[in-house]
Amino acid sequence: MSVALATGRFVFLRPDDVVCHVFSDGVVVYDEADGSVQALSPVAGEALLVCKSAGTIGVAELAARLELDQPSREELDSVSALLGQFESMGFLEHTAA
Amino acid sequence: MSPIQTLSTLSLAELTEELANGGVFLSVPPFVMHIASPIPVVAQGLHALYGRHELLRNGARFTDFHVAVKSETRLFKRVCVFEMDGFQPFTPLAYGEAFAFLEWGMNWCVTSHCHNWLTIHSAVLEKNGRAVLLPAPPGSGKSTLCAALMLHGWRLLSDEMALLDPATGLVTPAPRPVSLKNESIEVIRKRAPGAGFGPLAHDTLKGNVSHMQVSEQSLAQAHVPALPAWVVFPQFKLGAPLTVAARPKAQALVELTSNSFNQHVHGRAGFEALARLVERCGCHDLTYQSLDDALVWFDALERLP
Repeated sequence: MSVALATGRFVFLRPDDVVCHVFSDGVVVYDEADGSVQALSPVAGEALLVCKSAGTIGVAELAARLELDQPSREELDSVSALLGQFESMGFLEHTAA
Repeated sequence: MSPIQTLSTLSLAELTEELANGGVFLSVPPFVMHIASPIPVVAQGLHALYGRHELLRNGARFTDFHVAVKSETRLFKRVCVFEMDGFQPFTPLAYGEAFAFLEWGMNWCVTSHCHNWLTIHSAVLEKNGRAVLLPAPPGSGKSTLCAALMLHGWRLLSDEMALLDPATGLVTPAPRPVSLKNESIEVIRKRAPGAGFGPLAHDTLKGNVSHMQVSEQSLAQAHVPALPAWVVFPQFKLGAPLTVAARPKAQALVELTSNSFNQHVHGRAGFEALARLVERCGCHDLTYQSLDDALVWFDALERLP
């Protein structure tokens, strides 16, 4: 599945509905709204947790919060792709803010 | 206090008669079942497999489920139907499958109605106070492995469903006969020539099915819950050597939620209970062909501190 690179800022939808359980080998996300359960890699899971705690976030800010020091174009693309995935999973939504 | 009366105090003829005329009230821990059926194979199965279970003679005790397997004729063919409280949740099956139908129907009663537990499609066994969950899809060899472990001294809590208390994390035993299919029936018969087997149901949707009696130890300790220490995903594979791999816990949790019959009923609390279970358990993928090799591995697992 190809995911479009995300630009702009995103708002975390329904943070009270989304429960994350962190293991050393990944993060499991439970969405109380529809009962879905999904496993994320440790990096993706950490990114989702950052998005959730930030409330509203963009690519550069997420990269910084993931401690990517002076991220390369590829790293920024990867972070952008993660945001796009979270958006397609229904956790994030574009915002003008 | 009068001694308990077990089903074995009835002859097969007496049991057949009682089942056909009002039914019997049977302790099937942790439940009380009222079972009725005019079909002889149901009496044969109960007589062969539930002899050690308490027969309840006074009607004062609460009965969890009123079930029946009845005979009907449809399109000139004799079939059997399963009923709970007069409701028929399934389409009829062949007449010869009546006892297996009772077993499957009783499983359905529990998984569809007992939401005080989080129910997971999994075998559960225990040794020295620590329980192992064996969640697996049909065809994985779960029941065969489960029967072999029981014969090897593990206490059976269930062949089909883990009844997990979401608050305490303990699994409530529900020891019932182990459902064996096709070649597994002979494999286990050879390992335990003295074990009790129920009637053979031919050509069911699952193939040939026969149930094996639960061990005396498992039934005697049916009131003792157990705390899970391991989650093992078994996979029988012809010609494969025994291999074990750590199952990532995140994956194990997703797998357990998909094997739960009623996690959606428990919602967030159910998810968190399963997460706690996975957190404290060792999670493994076990591929095996030889039951003996698998038993050696389980022995080693159980000896770990």
